[in-house]
Amino acid sequence: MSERPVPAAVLAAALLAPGAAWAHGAVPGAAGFGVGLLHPLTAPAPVLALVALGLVLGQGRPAGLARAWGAFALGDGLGLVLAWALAADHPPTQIPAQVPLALVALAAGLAVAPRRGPLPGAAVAALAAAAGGLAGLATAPDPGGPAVAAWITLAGAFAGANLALFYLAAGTGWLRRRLPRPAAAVGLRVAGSWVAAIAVLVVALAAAA
Amino acid sequence: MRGKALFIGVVAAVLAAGPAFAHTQAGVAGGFFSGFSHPILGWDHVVAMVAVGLWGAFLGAPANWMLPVVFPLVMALGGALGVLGVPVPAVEAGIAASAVVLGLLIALAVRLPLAAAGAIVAAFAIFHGHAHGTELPEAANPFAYAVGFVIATGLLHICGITLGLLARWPAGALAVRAGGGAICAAGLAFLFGLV
Repeated sequence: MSERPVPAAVLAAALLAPGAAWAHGAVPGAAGFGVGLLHPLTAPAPVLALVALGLVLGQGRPAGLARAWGAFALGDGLGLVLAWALAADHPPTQIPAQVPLALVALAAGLAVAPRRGPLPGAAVAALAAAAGGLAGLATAPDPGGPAVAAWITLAGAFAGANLALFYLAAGTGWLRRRLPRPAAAVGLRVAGSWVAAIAVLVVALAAAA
Repeated sequence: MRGKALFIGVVAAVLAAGPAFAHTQAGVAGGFFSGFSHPILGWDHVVAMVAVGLWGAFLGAPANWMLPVVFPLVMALGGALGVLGVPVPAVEAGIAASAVVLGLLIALAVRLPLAAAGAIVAAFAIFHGHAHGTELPEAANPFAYAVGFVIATGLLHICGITLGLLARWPAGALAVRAGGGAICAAGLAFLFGLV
């Protein structure tokens, strides 16, 4: 307890009591950017693919990271623009990207699970490009509204997918370096097998639907 | 003075609290928790999952990581069969038998070749996966249910592996083998409907 407990308690009350401020609701496009930013994190298949790819990238050598990341960003950008361009005839919700995304997650999980070294750089880049492209197709905004708003939402979705991948890959790499080598290797394999198992079930659910 | 401060703090905490929604079983959270609790609340699943980790740790590397990697992968295939409505005979008996066999292998300190150990664990994983998979399409959120039950299964393996680390010491090895005997006995009880 501090020497002046009442002001400390009042301060605590002041910090605990406020509700949402909505301070930036009036910034044009901010809402659309925020919606886009969260879009890759709200659908199961893109999240699974991002986690799987994060494990692969976190396991790999830094030298191949830039190429893989470039492939992911390019694929994601192209996928988003393509989905938006086609949105009038084929709304993003009708694009069957969920199963291919789960299959990419399955491939990435199975690449991490067994006892062998990191994948070749070209294979990681191909996996990243596929994940990016499919994630882009799956997370584009719905048609309608002004073009500027759609572009802002697309930018948000692009940023969200890339930020999520950054944190997942960086977190995996950080744990791999921090943990004792055997524990880190086992942890990666187990995580890979979990992701692959979930991906199998996602595919089965899609097949049963 | 201190009592006054405490009173203000309590009042602030009470005023600041939002709704807890502690028991909502809908949506993603509901699906996740029902999936997560399915292996944990079923004792037949629990003892078998712990046995997989325990046996892996008892066998040492690389079985200590290979068995917990093989199990969820094959379990997912069993789950897919359940989701697709493909029947698997004697699922409940297979689950109970997994505890009997794995418990016995631990109790007798059987050190099988890695491939044989993997094959045994994989065969039983089909039954566990099928049992989870048949409930999956009806879950509040099937994807979250799948995530929940895969993670819970893995955590139970980790519990077994951690207990299996005791096998490094002579007394610990004895305790692990006794644990295997208890798992076997529990499996027999499940198999014959005694519990």
